[in-house]
Amino acid sequence: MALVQINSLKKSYRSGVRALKKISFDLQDNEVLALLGPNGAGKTTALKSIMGIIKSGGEILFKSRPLTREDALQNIVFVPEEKNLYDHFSAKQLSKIAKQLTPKFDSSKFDSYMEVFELNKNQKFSHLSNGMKTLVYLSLAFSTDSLIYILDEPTWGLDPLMRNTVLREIRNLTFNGKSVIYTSHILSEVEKTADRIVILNKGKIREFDSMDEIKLKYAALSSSQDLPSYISKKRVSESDFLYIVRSSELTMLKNSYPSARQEEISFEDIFEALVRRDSDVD
Amino acid sequence: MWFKVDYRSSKPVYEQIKERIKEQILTKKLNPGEYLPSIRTLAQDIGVNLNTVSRSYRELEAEGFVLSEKGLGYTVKTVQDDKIETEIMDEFAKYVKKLKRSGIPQNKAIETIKNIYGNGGEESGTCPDKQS
Repeated sequence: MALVQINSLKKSYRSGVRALKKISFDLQDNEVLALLGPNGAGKTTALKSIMGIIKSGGEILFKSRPLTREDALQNIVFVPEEKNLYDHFSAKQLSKIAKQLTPKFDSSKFDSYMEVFELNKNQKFSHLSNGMKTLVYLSLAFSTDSLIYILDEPTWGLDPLMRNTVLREIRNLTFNGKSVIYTSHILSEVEKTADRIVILNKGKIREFDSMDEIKLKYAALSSSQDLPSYISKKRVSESDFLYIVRSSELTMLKNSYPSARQEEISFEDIFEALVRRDSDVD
Repeated sequence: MWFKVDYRSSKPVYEQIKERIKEQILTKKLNPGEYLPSIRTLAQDIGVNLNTVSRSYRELEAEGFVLSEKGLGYTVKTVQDDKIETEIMDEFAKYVKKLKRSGIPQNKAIETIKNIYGNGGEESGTCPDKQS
């Protein structure tokens, strides 16, 4: 049974933009699920829909029952894309407020996160850099006991070292029985942290699987000939093309085109191919 | 147990973990009857997700290298070393074919092997365990 099941989620804005075109995915226990996609792919819209912040079509189930507002409040901690908090308060004051708001907030945990993230508790929120604001927000979220953590751009504004620290903390949540959905547009981040990845582009799911499986599903071939079936085709030299193809068709292609050479494939190649294909089609 | 996982590699992470554990079994760093690190411990140590380690362990079990003991963890099974050895040699053969394809002369390849094994070549083990 999925912890959260999202079925045919769709959202159109009054402007006519279709932000989500019937997407379905699920979140399992002890899982880090990443929503990955270029700007405007629909990642934030998907998260806001789950949180009930915006109204969308489709179905969202929590433990097989429609997710209610109460379920969301009790079981989900949400960190929005805009990391805004009360500007005049220091982290220390914010932690006091959080404690008053919910008994699930653990002040000593908050203090240890402040240390891990190398933050000064007494500095006013408005005086912090963007990255530090993100870290204070995350400290508040991680110190609040919950079953599910939904994090929109949790590494926004962070330097590479702190980014790794945050990713490690995200992974640690799952070691303690929690599940996480987070968004990112940084491939290497997702590669290291996510159990499964939803690749979103233009409101559609392009791929949904574990990183290992995704890497096995696709292969790269270089050839000067025209191959009959491929996900993407890129000119790499005067005479050669780099094709990203489905692994299931690899043997057939290699047999029919013996001059085609198989190349190493990276997650970046796959992501680019899946996202680029859309711009060719549309 | 610690080793470096290469996320950039096209080889799936769970495969990399399986390979490393097989190496440890072959070099007797893990002996029959011994427990593998718990899924959680290994995941934490090498910085990967629980599901990834758990998949590696499940596959090692399906391939007959380890045994799942309900609630206790995974223990190393007594396996013929040649099973792992064959796998490693197959992998090696692929590289040798690549050398041949690239026109590297045989004696040059052999020279490299000798260099890596060292002059005695006897006790340097079947697979050096790089910890760096």
